[in-house]
Amino acid sequence: MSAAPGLASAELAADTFMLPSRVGLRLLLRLRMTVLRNTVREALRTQPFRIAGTAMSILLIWAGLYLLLLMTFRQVQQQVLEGIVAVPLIFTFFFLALTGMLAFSNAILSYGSMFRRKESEYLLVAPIMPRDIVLVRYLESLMLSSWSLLLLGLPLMMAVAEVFQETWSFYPLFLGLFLLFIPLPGALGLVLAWLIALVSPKTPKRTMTLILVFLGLAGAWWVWSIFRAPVTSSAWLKNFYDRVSLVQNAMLPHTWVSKGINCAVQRQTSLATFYLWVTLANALFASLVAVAIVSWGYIPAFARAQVAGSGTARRSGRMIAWVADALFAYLPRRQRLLAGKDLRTFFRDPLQWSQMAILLGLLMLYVSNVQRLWTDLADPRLQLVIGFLNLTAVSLILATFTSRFVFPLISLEGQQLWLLGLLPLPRSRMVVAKFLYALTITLVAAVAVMGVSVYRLQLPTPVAVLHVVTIGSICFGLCGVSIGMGARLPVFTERNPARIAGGFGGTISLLLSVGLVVLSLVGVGAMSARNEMGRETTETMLLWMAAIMGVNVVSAAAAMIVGIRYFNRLEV
Amino acid sequence: MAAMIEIREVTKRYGNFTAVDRLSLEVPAGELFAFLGPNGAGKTTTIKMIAGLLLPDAGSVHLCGYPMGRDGRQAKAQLAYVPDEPFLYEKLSGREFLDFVAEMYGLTPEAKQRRLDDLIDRLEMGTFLDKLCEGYSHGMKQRTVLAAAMLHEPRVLVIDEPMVGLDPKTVRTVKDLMGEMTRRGGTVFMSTHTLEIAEAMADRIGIIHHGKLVAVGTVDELKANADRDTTLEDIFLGLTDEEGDARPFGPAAKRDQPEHETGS
Repeated sequence: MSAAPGLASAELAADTFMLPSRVGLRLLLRLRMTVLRNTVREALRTQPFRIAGTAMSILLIWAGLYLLLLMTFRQVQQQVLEGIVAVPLIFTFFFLALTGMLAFSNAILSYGSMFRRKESEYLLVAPIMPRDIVLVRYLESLMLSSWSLLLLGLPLMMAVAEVFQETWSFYPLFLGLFLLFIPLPGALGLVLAWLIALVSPKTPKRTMTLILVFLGLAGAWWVWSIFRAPVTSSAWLKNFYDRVSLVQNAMLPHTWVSKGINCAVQRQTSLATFYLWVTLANALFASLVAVAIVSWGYIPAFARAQVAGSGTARRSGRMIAWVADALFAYLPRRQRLLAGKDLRTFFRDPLQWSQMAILLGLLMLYVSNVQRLWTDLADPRLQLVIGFLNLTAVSLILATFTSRFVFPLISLEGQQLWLLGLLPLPRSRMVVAKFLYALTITLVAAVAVMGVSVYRLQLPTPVAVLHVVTIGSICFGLCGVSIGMGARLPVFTERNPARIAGGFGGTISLLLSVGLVVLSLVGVGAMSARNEMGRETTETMLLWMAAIMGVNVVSAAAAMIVGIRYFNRLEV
Repeated sequence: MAAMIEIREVTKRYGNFTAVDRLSLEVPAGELFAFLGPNGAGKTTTIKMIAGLLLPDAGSVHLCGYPMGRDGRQAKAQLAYVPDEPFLYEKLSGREFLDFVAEMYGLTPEAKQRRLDDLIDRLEMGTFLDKLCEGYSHGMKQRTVLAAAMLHEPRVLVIDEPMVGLDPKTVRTVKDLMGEMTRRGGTVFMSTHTLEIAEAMADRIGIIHHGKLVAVGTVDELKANADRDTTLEDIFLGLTDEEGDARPFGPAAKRDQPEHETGS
C-alpha cells in the first residue's frame, strides 16, 4: 500500500495498513472469547455463592414456568374441541409477544453496544471495518437474546412434550424453529437502534419509550376491540376470528414458527421441516440485509449519537417539587428533600416511570374490564377467587417492581455518599427516608388498583377491606425488605440500576420478596378457596388480617434493622 | 513541510449550537501541537473530528494526505487516539490487550515483541501487565493505554489531557515518548488545560474559544503579539475572557484562518 505523498522522510513504521474483513471479524470474536473466559474464571473465583444464587433463581423461575405451562396445556387438552383451536393460538400469541420483546431488547442492547459503549469509540478509531464491528455487536445481542430460549423456550418445549406425548422428532424441530426465529426480531432490533441513532440521537430513551407506549396502546385497543361485544354472541366469535386472522398472516415471522411448532406437535414432520427452512432462509436474509444497512450507515449514525444529552431541555422541576411536597408532607424537612430528589430522578428516567405505568396501566385496564368476562360474577365464590387472583397479581408485580427499582436506591446513593455524608443527617434517617419514599409511591399505586378491583367485582365490604389492608401490608413489607437488603448488600461499583438489581443482592431481595408475598397471601387464598369470607367480618378474618400485618411489619423491621446496622458501619 | 493533520474550514453544529466554526489548521510532521481552550470551547469536538468519530457538517479533515470521513480507514491506520477517559477492557490483562492491539494493526510477532519490551520497560509496566485491567490504578491504566497507542508506531498521535492523574515520573516518561515521536517525524496533537505543560513541550499552541481558533503560533509568537510582556496564562485568559471580544490572534492565526475571518 502506498503512503501519503510527501511523507517519504517520515521514519515511522506504520503504513496504510488495513485489516482485511475476515481477519478483523476473527480477531474481535477471539477477543470476545478471551473476555468471556476471564469473566467466568474471575466470577467463579471471587463470587461462587452469587453464581450459585443466580443459577438457583433461574432454576426456580424455570420450574415455575414449566409447571404453569404444564397446567395450562393440560387444561386446554381436557376441552377437546376448544383445545384444537386454542393450542395454535397459544403458539401464535406466544411468538407474537416474543417478537416484540426480542425486537425491543435487541434494539436496546444494540443501541447501547454500538453507540454508547466506549469500546465502539475505540474500535472505530482503529483500522477495523465498520461491518466487522456491527456484525460482532449483532452476534452479541443474538447470544444474549438466546437466553429467551433457555428461560421461556425450554419450559414450553418440555411442557408441550409432556402433555402431548411427543416423539423424538419434536425436540430438534422445536429447538431449530425457536433458535432460527431469534435473528428475525434481532435484525429488526438492530435496524431500529440504528434508525433511532440517526433520527433521534438526542433523546433515544424517550423515542424508544414512545414507540413502546404507542405499541402498548395499539395492543390494548386491539384487545378491547375483541372483547367489547358480549362474548357469548356469534357476532363476537366472528369478530374474534377476524381480528385474530390479522396476527396469523402468512407473511409474519411468528406465524412460520408457530405453525412449524404446531405441525411438529401434530407429528406432521415434513410440514414442520418446511417451516423450519422458511424460517432459516428468512433469518439469514434478514440478518444479511440488516447488517449491510447498519454497516453502511454506522459511522454517520455513531457521529450523530454522540450528541446525546447535549440538547437536554432545562427543567425547573417546580411541578415535581409540588407533587413531592404534597406526597411527603408528613416527613421532616430534610427527609422530604431527599424523597423529593428521588421523585425527580424517578420521573426523569423514562425506564422507571414507563415500566410502572405500563404494568399498572395494564392491571388497571384489566380490573376495570373484569365485568366483561364471560363468567357469572354474581357467583360469590367466583368473585372471591377472581379477587384473590387480582390481589396475587398486584402483589407479585409489586415484588418485582420493588426488587428492580427500590432495591438499587441505596446503592445508587452510595456513589454520592461522601456528599450526603456531609449533611447533618444520620445515615439511618437516610435509609428510613428511602423506605418512606418507596412506601408512599407503591402504596398510592397499589391501593388505587386494588380499590378499582374490589369496586368492580363488588366484593362484600369485609373482603374488600381485607384485600386493601393486605395489599397495604405487603407494600410495607416489600419496601422494607428491598430497602433493608439494599442497605445490607449494596453495589457501589455499578451505576446501572438494572445491573444492581440483577446481581446477588437483587436476587436475594427478589426471592425474599416473593417469599413474603406467598406467606402473606396463603391465608387469604385458603379462605377464598373454602369460601369462608362472607358479608360479615369474622374472627378468622380479623386474625388473618392481624397476622398479615404482623408478618409484613416484622419482615420490614428486621430487614431495615439489618440494613441500617450494616450501612452505619460502612466506609465508602 | 507536508501537513500530517490538515483541517480545512471545518464546522460542526449540535442543533442550533455551533461547536466548531470554520476552523482551519495545519500541523506538519515533527511538530507537537498543543490545543488549548476553556471548557466547552470545541476542543473535544475538534479532536473527535480528527479521529473520525464525528463527521464535520462542512469542511474536511485529512490525516497524512488521506481523508478522514465516512471511510477513513487509510487515515486511521496512521493514527493513535487517546481520549480523556481512555478505554480498557476490564476483563483483559494488560498483556492480552496489547496483544490484541498489535494484531489489530498487523504487527509481526517480532516487531510486536520488540516494541512491547521497549514500552514495558520505559513505562514500568512489568509488575502489573499480567493482571486484569479492572484492578489497575488510574496511572496504570493511563500507562497501558499509552503503550497501546504507541505500539504500532503511529504517524499521528492525538491525545486528550495526557498528564491528568499521572505521577511526576510517568509524566516525564510520557513527555519523553512524545518528544521522541516528534523527533522521528511523527506529529502529536495534544489537548490540555495545563498551560505550563503546553508552554514547556509544544512547538506551537492553538487556542480555541467558542468554536473559533482565536490564536495560533509558537509561545514566542503569541507573546510577541500580546500588547505587553506577559505570560501564556495571561494571553489565554485575555483571549478567552467571556466579557471581551475574542479575535484571531498572532501571525500564524492570520495564516491559518480563512481570509474573511482574518481580514488579510
